[in-house]
Amino acid sequence: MIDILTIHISVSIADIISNFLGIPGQFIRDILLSINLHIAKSLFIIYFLSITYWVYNLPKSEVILNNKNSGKDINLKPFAISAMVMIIIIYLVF
Amino acid sequence: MVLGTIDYVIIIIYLVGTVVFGAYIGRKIKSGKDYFLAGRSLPWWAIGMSLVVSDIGAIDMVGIAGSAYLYGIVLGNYDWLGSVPVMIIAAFLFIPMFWKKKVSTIPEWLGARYNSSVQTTSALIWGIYMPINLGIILYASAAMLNVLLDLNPKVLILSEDKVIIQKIARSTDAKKYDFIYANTINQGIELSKNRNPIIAFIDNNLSFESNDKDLFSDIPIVIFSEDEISSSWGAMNMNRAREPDWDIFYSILIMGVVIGIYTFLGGLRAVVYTDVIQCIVMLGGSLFVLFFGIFKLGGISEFVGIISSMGERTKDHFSLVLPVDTKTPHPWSGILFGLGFVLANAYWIGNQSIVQRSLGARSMADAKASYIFGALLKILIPFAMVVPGIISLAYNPNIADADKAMATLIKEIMPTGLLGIFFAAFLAGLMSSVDSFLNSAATVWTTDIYKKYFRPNRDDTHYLFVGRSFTIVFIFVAIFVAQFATGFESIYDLAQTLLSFFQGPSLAIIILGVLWKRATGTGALVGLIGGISFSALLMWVHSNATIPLFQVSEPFLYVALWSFILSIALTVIVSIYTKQEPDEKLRGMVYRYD
Repeated sequence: MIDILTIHISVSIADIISNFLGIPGQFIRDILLSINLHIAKSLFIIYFLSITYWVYNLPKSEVILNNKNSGKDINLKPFAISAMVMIIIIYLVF
Repeated sequence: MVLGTIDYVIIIIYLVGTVVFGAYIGRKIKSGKDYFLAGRSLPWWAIGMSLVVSDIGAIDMVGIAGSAYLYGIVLGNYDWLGSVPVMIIAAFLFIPMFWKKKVSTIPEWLGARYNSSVQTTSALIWGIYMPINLGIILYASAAMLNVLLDLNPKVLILSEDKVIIQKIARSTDAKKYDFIYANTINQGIELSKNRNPIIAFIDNNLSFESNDKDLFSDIPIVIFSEDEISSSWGAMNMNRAREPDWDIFYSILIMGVVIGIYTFLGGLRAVVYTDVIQCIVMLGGSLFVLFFGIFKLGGISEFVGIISSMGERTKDHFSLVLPVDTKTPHPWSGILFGLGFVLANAYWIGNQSIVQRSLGARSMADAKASYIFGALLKILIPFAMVVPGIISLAYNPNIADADKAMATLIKEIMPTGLLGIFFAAFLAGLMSSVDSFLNSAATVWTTDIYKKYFRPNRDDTHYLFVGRSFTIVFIFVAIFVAQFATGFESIYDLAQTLLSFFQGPSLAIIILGVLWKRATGTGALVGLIGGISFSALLMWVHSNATIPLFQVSEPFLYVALWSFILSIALTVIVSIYTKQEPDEKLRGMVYRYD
């Protein structure tokens, strides 16, 4: 009897919170639902392009590093940008 | 048995070789610093390979392929979106901040940036999560081991209706058993002799005579009608089943103990260098399954044609971006905002078991380069892990338990000898994940709890002893937890759900700590605890409300996103109203503020 009452109260509280959070949640969901899949895919690509642009603009001091073993400088920027370009191609294909 | 002698030889050579190599590498361990951070001597290429192989453990080989079987290439987002961009951001922004502070753990960095309370809260969260996750990894691995070696107890079903096998599988704990199907009494008798089932279910539409019972080798027999099948009916009848010769728990126990011994000997240096071998074996094995699987289907166009011909079921199997109202747990909104912006960042920037190896890098250049190298390798992973799940669908469209997709595929396509190579790859994935989590859990408990609160000023050999003791304790905790992992539909979703509880809030305070010097310790603590509580509330409401809060089956991506947003908001608000941390404390801890 107590168990049934506890379950009933739990469900009621969960329903109240769900209804409360559900209003803004549904509003956001409706906005997202209205976004065309092609636009959604564009958002992914824009995100990748933003990171590529950020890496491209990083100062030399943060991307060119001295390898203590070989004594040579290594520029990490081309590797990072190559990885991002490959990801962009994959998202354009699929 | 599925494996041949040559397979066993390959596996034994691989296992013994790895353990001996790990012990050899780890023989120089003399202190806690050696054990936890490899004496800060690791090169970029080893860390990069270790990062990748630790992330794609056996849990992924089982769970991701299983999810890909159901939902398609959308699972590729977890690497292409969820790893590559974030690893590049981490390489240039976050990892250098952690490395130059010379900390052993992320909670330790949080303690230096904020305060002791934030450090301890974060350490407890990771310290509790990691042994639990170890249990999940162990279960996933044991489940696949059982399928590969054909060790699962068999349930025999005799009926002329193939739909009935699905109904009975659903009415029992399908993950624990392999279901054998026969449509005549004679075929059932034959299978009963060869496969040694623990129980037989016989459709009352078949003409089963009572004297046939003797031909079923004394196994319990249940005569049923389709209308009777329900979960309570399944549970009741399975209680009548004969005790199986091999239970999944035995697999969990054996693997846990073996890996525990190996990790105990190793330390981070051994973990990372064995990961290098494991990375080569695992990527090689998985890519072999990819090429061999497609080759046997006749080529890429034939493979795509078979999947596309399955109609509605597979219409999105080659789409990375799925609609918001998709029936899968992977809508584009959750993937982009929840995974891309929150969970992925939290994983690569804030996950102790991942970040720890870069803290052991021999220089900042190596720490940065390791993440870039890892990002490049990560591009390959969906081809090795996700696509084989879809290939499995092309071969077997009617697998009852999707988590068995990869195992079923390799059993079907791999010849003796090559199966051993894949099995070694699977063990490589398993070992790399387990040893990483074990080592990290031991590091957090030793550094952030034991050393901080119990014995702060002991010599480093004492902490080595304590770290190794924690390693043993956690492997037994993991074995215990692994037994409860059978209750979830998808292993991968379970791990993600657990992570989503605290990944968002943890990430929020790390990001604000690195990028905003005004963030305070009190703000971070409120943000962390408030965010985790909010995650738990969201999951509780979602599970208990009459109408679920989220409209996807496993809402971990959304939970992570909303708890992250709330944590950011709480941390910012409380920080504004509390006193800023002293300037000397912030220098070197905040990006471009030295």
